Amino acid sequence: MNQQPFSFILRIEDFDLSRLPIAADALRANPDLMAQAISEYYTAIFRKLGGTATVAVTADAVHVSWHPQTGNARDLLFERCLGLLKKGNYREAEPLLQCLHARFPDDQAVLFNYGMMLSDQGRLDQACRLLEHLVELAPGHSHGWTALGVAYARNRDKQRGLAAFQTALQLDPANAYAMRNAAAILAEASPADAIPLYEKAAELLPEDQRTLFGYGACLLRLGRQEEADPILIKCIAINPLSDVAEEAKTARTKLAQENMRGNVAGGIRPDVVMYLLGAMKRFRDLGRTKTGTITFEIAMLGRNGLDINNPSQKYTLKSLPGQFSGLHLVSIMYAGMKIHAPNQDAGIDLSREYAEAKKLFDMEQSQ
Amino acid sequence: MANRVKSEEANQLIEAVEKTTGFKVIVDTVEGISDDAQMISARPEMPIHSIRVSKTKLPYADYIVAAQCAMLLRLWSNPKRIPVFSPNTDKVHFFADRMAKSKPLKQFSARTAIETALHLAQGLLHQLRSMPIEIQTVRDCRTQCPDLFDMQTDSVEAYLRLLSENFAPKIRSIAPEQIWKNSVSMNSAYALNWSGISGSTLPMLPYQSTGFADTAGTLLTEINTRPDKTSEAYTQIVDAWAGRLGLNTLYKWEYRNGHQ
Repeated sequence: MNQQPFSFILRIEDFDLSRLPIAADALRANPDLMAQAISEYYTAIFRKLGGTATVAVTADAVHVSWHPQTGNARDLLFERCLGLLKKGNYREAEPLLQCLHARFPDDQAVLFNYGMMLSDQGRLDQACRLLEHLVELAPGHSHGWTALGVAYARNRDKQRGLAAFQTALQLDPANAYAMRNAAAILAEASPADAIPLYEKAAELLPEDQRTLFGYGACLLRLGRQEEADPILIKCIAINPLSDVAEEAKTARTKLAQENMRGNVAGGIRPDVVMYLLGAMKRFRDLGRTKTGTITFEIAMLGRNGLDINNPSQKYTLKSLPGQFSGLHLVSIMYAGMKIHAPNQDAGIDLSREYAEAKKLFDMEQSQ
Repeated sequence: MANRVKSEEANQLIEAVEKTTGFKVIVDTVEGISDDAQMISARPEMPIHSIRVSKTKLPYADYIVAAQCAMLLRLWSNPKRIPVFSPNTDKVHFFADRMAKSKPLKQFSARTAIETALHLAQGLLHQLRSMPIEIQTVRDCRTQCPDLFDMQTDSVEAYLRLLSENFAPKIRSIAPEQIWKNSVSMNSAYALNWSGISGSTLPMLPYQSTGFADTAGTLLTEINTRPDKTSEAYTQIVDAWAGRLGLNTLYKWEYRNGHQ
């Protein structure tokens, strides 16, 4: 049983103050507070691992020495890191990986996980250095090549990224992450070439949001809207409040508007004209306050996207009785915005239908 | 309805808000705000609760939504009597005028001093209104959304960093003593609360080293002794804090019926 102390020294300037729940400016203004905070930070981390830790902070460095109660210090620390990384808890994993790397600079598992974490955090030069070192030490490490390719691609070096993904796929043809990332680069120049890779990656990673978005977006670029939409819907459902979901929502909104016009070959939608006319009449009778309430309620509902190409009446409002289709609601909102916020973008262009409806409305009014 | 967020626990809180208040909750994102989220509580002329999460805070969006829902549940515990914090404008201006004459603001022109003092006074009142319920909802989410603990930690610690900017020289040098002390007192209670939940001593370090540990304990006790999840408990805590901080003449409570 190896119970050697685990010791390392970190330069203060390498310590990321944003790990602490105290403002960096406040810490810099008070060196004693900074030293105490860093000391307590490391003490708490090692206390959780068991054993005893000694932390000393000098003007320019942190000296840490940890004596585990039992077991191998490297293994204990690394297992803890993996557990944290699996939960996405980079905040706690990072200092441990930093310590492990300082102590074991050629440890492949440490290089891989630390490099990927840095890459995810956007610290790309450092990530590339660690991952390049990994594939030098282990040229057959398919996932190492994938991680390196991702870091290159994020660092805007797509050629080297693609080459790294291709190496990863040569080493392991079932590496779904290499497929997905290679497909993303190929799709920029030639979406058709990317589709087979995306298809397979989506099969292997059915819950991976980034894969589904890439696949859906690629299908859209090829004009395969009907196949793309359910994939984008699934992509959003995986995590609706995420950067990828935002991109997928934007793509779906554009698609919905194109389809709406596509149904009449770009011409005027008579159903929308009738919805708008109905809204104008209703608003004339209801008055300005009630009109505003209805309009704002639909506008708020619309933030999550209204399904304007589905004719089923699946929406209800608190401010207006009845059941409505998505297109009906959007039409009511459009008419309401013409009254309450005529200069604001309604998010959909119904101007031609509105002009027609207005003509009919004015004719009825004048009779 | 499809899940609005990924976290099952946060979705349950959304459903609880809809059931308790009778209004739908719409969750989406927004750009260009400095806060975690923009929340608009439903009213008859706007019959939807809107929670808009800042696009810069998406990594812990589900926690933000859960916290906003926990807040709505407390404020709407009695939908016929929802408290509205209403500053006494004249008294706030009087307070700001007095602060404008304090040493740190004397270095500016009279107009800048008054504008700055008013801005700081309004910020202080915002803090008085929001911090007790923020502490309460941090606790609610800790117990009701254990799966969101990592997100909660990121969110709360980011907020603690922001709050502790009060100790940075650039802030300290322009804040009138009374405003600074009141603000730091409330922040210290927030830090102590998180220290208790997380088991970390770090949040309290700047407050301990500047002598705010007792104040933090006193303010937090006002919350601990009112554990009910009601809007009444919330307004009582705000009043108790205001009494201890000498701010109780600067606002009054109004009440609205959520359905009329």
